[in-house]
Amino acid sequence: MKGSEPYYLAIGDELEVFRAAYDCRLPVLLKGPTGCGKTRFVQYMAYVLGGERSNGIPGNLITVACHEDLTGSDLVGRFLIQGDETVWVDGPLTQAVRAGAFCYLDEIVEARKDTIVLIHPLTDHRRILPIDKKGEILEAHPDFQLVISYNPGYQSALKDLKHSTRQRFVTIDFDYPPRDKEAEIIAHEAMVPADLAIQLALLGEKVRHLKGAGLEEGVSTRLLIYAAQLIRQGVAPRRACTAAISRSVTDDWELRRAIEEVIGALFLD
Amino acid sequence: MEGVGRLWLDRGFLSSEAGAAALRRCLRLSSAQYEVILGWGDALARRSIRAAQGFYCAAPEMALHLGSAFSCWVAIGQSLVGAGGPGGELALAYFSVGAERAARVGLGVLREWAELLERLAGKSERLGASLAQATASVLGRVAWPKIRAWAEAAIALRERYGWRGELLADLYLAAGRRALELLDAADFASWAELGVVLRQAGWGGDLYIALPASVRGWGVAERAAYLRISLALARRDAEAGREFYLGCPAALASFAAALRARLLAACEAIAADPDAVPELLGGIPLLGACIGSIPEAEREAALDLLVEVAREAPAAAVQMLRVLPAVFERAALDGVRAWVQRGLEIGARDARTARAYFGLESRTSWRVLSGAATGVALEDVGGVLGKFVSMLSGQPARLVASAGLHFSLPMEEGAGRPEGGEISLPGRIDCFPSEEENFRFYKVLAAMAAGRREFGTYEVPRDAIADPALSALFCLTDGYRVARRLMRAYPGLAPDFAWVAERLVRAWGADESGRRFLDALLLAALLPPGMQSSVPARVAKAAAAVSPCLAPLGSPEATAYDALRVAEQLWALVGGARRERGGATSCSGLDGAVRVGRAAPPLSGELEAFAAQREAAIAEHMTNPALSVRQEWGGETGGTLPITAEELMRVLEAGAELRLGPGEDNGGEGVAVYACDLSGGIARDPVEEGKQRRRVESGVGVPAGRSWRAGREEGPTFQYDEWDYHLGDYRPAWCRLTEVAVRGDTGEFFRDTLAAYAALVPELRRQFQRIRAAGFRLVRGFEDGEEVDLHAAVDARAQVRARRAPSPKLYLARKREVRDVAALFLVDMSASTDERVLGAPAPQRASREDLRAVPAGRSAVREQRIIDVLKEALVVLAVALEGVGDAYAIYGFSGHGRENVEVYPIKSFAEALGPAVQSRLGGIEPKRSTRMGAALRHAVQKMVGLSSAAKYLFLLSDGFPQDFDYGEDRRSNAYGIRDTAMALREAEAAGILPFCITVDKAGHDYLRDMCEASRYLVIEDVFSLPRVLPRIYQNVVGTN
Repeated sequence: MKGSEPYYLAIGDELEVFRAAYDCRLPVLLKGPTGCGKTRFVQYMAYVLGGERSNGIPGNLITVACHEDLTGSDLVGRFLIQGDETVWVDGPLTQAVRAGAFCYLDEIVEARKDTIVLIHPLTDHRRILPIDKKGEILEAHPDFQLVISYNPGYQSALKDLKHSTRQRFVTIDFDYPPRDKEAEIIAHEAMVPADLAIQLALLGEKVRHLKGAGLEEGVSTRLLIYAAQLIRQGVAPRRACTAAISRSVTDDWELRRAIEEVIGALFLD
Repeated sequence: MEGVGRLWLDRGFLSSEAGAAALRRCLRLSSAQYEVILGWGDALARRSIRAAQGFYCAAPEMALHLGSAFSCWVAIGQSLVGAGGPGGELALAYFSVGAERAARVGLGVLREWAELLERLAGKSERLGASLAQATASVLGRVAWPKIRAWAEAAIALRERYGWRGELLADLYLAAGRRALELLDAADFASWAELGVVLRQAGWGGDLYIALPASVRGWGVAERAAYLRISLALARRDAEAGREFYLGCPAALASFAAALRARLLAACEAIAADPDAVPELLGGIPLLGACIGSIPEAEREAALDLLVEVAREAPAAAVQMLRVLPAVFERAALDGVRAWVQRGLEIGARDARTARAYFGLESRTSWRVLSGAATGVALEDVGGVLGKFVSMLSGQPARLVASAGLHFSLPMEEGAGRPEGGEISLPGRIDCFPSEEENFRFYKVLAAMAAGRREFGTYEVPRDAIADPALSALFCLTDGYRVARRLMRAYPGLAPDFAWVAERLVRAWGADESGRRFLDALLLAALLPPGMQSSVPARVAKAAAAVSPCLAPLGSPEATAYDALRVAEQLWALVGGARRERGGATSCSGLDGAVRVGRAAPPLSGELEAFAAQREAAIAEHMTNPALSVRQEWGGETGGTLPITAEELMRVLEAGAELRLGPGEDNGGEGVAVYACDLSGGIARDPVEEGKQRRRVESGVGVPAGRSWRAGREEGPTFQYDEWDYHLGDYRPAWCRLTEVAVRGDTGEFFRDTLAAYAALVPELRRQFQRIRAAGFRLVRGFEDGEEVDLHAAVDARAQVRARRAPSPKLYLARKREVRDVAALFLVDMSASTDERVLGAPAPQRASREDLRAVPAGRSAVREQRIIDVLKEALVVLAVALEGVGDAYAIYGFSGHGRENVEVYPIKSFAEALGPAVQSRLGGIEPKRSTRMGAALRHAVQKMVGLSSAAKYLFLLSDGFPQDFDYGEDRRSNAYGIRDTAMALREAEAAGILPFCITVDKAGHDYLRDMCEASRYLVIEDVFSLPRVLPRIYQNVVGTN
């Protein structure tokens, strides 16, 4: 169940801050653009802080990708009809609370507002989860850790996180890694030579210059890794970057053409 | 008679200068000859003493020249004595023709001339005398047939037009000298006729004498065409004829004969169409500028095409003339030919279509032209290149078009500013056969601009390279450095650089211009090994000399200061090379650093003087490196002599062998210190001066000085096409629309309106809240859901008991009801909304039965401006919409002419109904015209990016679309109505449902032409609008 340790390359002091928050059992909010490593960071922390103890949860982490139809029942649990019986089934949040695992609510602002308030009692000194359908109040396991994330970049004002929610979390900001570290990550994840990884990281850096000047989001480290993986599979570098990067980050013809010119400048086919 | 006879030879005459000279000449004759002269003199004196005296002056010479023909000569003169009236002017003029000229023309011509004079004098003695005087002076100097034709034209004037003709003929003859000099025999008849036509129209007094001197040297056919056109125009419109007659020759003066003939042919074809004449006259002053902007090699072919168009569609030809430079910028000759052929096919429909096509005022025209073009305009690729530069350099880039095409770009204006500098790129590149290749060159240039930013070119202060020649050398050395860095950092660019260098070095190396030479030198240095064979010899020679100096700059560690140092050294080496050739002493400061090779030919004196000055400056600089650049090189006291690029080229071209030797460090150190010590303000780059530039982005260049526009906050500008139903096509970029900020009030209007409609607003809010989605609703029949659906579970159990397969849909879920509506209200702010309207006595305010309320303090009989009612309606609606949560925006529109369409943002979709919006709502005021099409298109643009599922566009107006140039015929609304209708259709095509609301009772008349009956509403009672508008909104949004 423990599995192997996820790869994570620290960029700043995020490991120390998270560890301190965990020691105090403070919930953590990770803020940063898409594909910059938030999820991997949580996986890594869950693995590292879970220690040798096994709580039956793979990787000591339950991840919920939030969406606008996510209901309270989806998080907490529901009654299911099984044969002649009605059976209560814990939701992912309840499972984590009971087992003392990490619960990671990814892109929390996408969830419905009535769903988000469910986590409030878990995030203060009470650390409880009321399950109203069962009339039960569940106290969180001492090792339970709640982590949420959101990307302030492209969220509209309508989807901003309410203060009553965000002021319950310790916040760690994430951004894309500097070129050398990003190259190291790409090289490790895609298993490509360092010089190719550096070129890809440079491409990422160049494309991110357009953020705010047409691009809502810069190209993610994840996409750079995808490009590297395609190249490793034998796809020509320009084609790989076009497929994994320029076509993925925008539909705007002009932006795409400009990005493809930069790809052409950086890579020889 | 003898006594009388001798009276003409009196003392007074003989003591005059002419008489005394004649007497002296007579004394050289034999007595018999003299007696003959006296005899003829006596005979003449009987009829005119002055004629006799004139004869006496001419006779001695003539007697010697003519011999036996003398008597014939006198007899001709004698015949004229009686014909010219008592004064004997004709004979006097006859005898004034000197012997030499008379002998040259011969007695036959003299006789013809005399007959001509007699003939005219027979009709008018005065005219006869005028003709005699005018012709006597030119006889023998101008060919007789020409004189005769000129005179015949004068006679014809008199004969055909009586006394009026006599007046004209008098003016005609007065301009004789000019006419005989400038015109030919074949021209006189039509020239004289032109005077008649203009004279009849009240012109012509000064016409003959004003004959433009520019026609000198024109061919017979050209002059004939010119006069023919003038005459044809004058017959229809005297003013037009006169304008052409006076203005055309000067406008054509600068053209070669081949071009002139074609232009006249085009003018003649255009002038045949009376409707095209005003445009022709307007276009004539532009000929020089328009034709001059066409590539020289293609001018004749271009004018052939113009003539072709002029013959088929005269009115369109002038339009074509105006846009020809732009057309040739975009397409090569074959492309232009195809464009013209297509235009002639399209233009065959009607003149208006042809005019729009050949004036590049229709989308089709642009499309055809673009299809034929292989060149790339910065306008089209500026967006991509700007982003390319931004990405490479990490700074925003603003591109501006510059004239000319060079590899070394001008230094960036405002480099290093946070908002990014201004990068000059060629406005157009058309030097390669395909669009892709032209773009490739653009990309290399853009990469160079980005490279300068990325690799620190602008760390060198501009003062350090203020000297134009040094700046040119710095562009060379730093260009080499930047290009090498780019190729190293961006391996994909290396093939592009090699390709550009290979393709251009040959062409540019052969170019005589100095700037191109340096470009070619740089390109040669950038060529990959093995490709040097493509370098022209003169460039190769200089490149071989310069390459050793440039080589160290290829290192990734080289900085812009290094490039400056090498430029300085090259500069000094250039001086050294000159000195070596001239035998002068070498520059001590650089001796250790440089070995100058073989001697070269001596330089010109001018260059020697320059070299001496530069050497003095360099020597001083070497001994005192702390001096600032300004003092040494560019300061007022320095007295520097800037070298031109041509001089530099010649020195480099001379092929001095230049090599940086082991002493480089010593030599360079001083320069390095000097370069690092540079300080002071950024000098203006002289290369930039005189550069024509055009902003790629819109939003600049708003004309000033219009009082109604003064003092306003103008936002971005946009260009929109407009539909011309005559053409059946769009006029591209026809309207220039500006967003203008509205000056709001203090929010008073908003508050007053809310108070006035205090009863209506809460009621509307309640109504709107009813249409608001409940938020969530329970939905049954899910296989997976939040809760168990008991009914379904019981049914399932029953099914099981009945041994049937139960339904798996046992759960229910709460699903969100999505109301995803966006609406934009576009409000007509034309001047007509200032009109006051009277309403029926208002009901008592604030009763639920009658929701319409009368604002407090207002009289029982309502009188309000239409705009105020519209504003009230918007306030009430906005407040109601806040309750329902729909996204909405409010924009006003007005303007004046297609160049000044204005949209006034009141509330954008992103804004809340805060104090700023409330203030702006109060600030809505009547402005000017109603150009609906452009405003609608702008509104559509505001909405297309919205993700809302349902989008609505409400147009609130008080009348039909109207503007002073909304269609050619101001009296007709058809153009505006059709354009608006098309704009409404465009909105529908974009997924936006338009709805028109008008308070104009005659609205049915035109709204039915603009949209379907279900898409508009005419409000009969203006005052009901605040009450009705929210209901309209509910109905429109609710039913769709």
